[in-house]
Amino acid sequence: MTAHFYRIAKKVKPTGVGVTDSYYVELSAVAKNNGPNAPYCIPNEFIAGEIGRFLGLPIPPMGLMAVTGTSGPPDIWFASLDFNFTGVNLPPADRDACVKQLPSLSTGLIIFDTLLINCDRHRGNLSLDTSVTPHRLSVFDHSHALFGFTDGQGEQRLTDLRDKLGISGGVFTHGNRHCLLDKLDTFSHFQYWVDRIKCLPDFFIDDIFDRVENLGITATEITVGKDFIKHRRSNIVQILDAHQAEFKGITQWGALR
Amino acid sequence: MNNPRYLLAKFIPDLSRMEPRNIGVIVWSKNGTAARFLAEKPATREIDGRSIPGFITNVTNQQSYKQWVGFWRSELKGSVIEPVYGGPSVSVQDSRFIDVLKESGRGHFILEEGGFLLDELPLGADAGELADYLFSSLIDETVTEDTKDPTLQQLTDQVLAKSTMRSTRGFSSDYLVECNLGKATDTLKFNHAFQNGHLSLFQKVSLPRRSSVLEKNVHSTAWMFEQVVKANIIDSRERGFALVYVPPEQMQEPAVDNAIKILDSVASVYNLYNQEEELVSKLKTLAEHACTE
Repeated sequence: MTAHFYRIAKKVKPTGVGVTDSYYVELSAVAKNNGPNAPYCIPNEFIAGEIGRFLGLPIPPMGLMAVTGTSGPPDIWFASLDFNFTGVNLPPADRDACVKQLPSLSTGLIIFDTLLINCDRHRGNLSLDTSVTPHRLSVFDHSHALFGFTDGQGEQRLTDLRDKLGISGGVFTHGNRHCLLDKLDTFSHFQYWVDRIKCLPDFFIDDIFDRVENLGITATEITVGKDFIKHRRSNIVQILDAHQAEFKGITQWGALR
Repeated sequence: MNNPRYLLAKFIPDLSRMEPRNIGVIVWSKNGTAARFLAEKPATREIDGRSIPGFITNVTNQQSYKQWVGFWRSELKGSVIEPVYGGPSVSVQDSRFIDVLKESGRGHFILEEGGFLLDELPLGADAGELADYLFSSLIDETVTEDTKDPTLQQLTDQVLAKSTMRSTRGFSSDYLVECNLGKATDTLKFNHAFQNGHLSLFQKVSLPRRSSVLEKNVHSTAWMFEQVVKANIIDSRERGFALVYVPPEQMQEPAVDNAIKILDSVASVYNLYNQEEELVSKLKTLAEHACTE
């Protein structure tokens, strides 16, 4: 696993007396809020981001940010650091290069999106920097994962997709077929990522759901959400095994533990 | 509609100002597709990093530009195109191909509708010829701003670090020199200077492939060095350092060869492609000399 660096946009000034080589800096970040096209944007992004980073996927550092005004409660946004080290967006990812150069990360991403029933993994929300060796993958945009993109239908979606693959773009999932699903041609890294997913602790899952309370999801959705992720974590092998036919590039499916 | 259509590839240097600049053209026709981008070598369509305009390299590195052009070219290679944000594939024979491609731009690199031709291309006519024509009419290759050469910049920084010149007392950057020209006074800005009793001046000279920019860069630098020698601001041309980065293949070009000769007539020219160590050792000597004075 290689280190990911993020860009300091501006070094503003030293922090002050007594602290050497420490500076206030300005960072570039992308911020989002719940909206008509993504009513569960904040909870989906935050929960997916925390789980993805726990698993070791290249999801930029992120968190909940408060915009404070002169009156009223602060406006809460989700924000993640701009991963474009060169100052501009890179083009959509080359999927063939992605699975060929980074087969393990590609596998991890598919299993992670399966865990979170992310129906919106197209090549526009993957970025692959091919100018560095090894290529640098960045994964972003999970606003349509988990509770989905239809206001008030979050709980229903989790119920409908409880044991589905959730990334095939089929009649239950809707959205897009996962952009790497037909491209991945090796089974070699499945166990590695399954093992990681199984390590997700209950307390961690409980905490991250609790942190987005009142930020677009109801108390019931939080309860159902926690149960949903714990269920899929514990049954990830069964879910993958049951849908092995969807992995069209993999000719030899192995035994997962 | 089966008439040939084209997109303009644009780069937006500052997203808040939204002032896109044309960087390429992509043509779709029933006869095939073709694309032309700034800084491409005509024979191979490879990007020549040194020719990427400054309005791009001042914002991002060469690699980003290369990756975007490479991406658009790879999209044109297939018999179908898959929408970046999901949806059914579209055949290259279908004029909606270009609509799907248009959606692939984002951030600083975008594609915009250019227009269409009223007639279809005659059978057998090459889309490349149309792309050449559109490129020459719509994309300005004669941008006159300085193109910064990132390799030269990086190597110069390296030399200054290795020789410890940067941390030596008497070294400064963006050094201003006032020269009297008849009744007028001109302020010349050199990239770096080193003052240890004798003044040495350093100027990076980028030699891009566009001849107009190359000429401008060389003439301006040569004139600056000539003035500071004439005004006795530096003792001799040996105290003027013109730093260039010229790989062997570029050295073969008559315009570049002549540019080096012009610079050599007024300053000491160091080609950082193969004289990096030589310059490091020269600067070390200057720095050491300063310490003992």
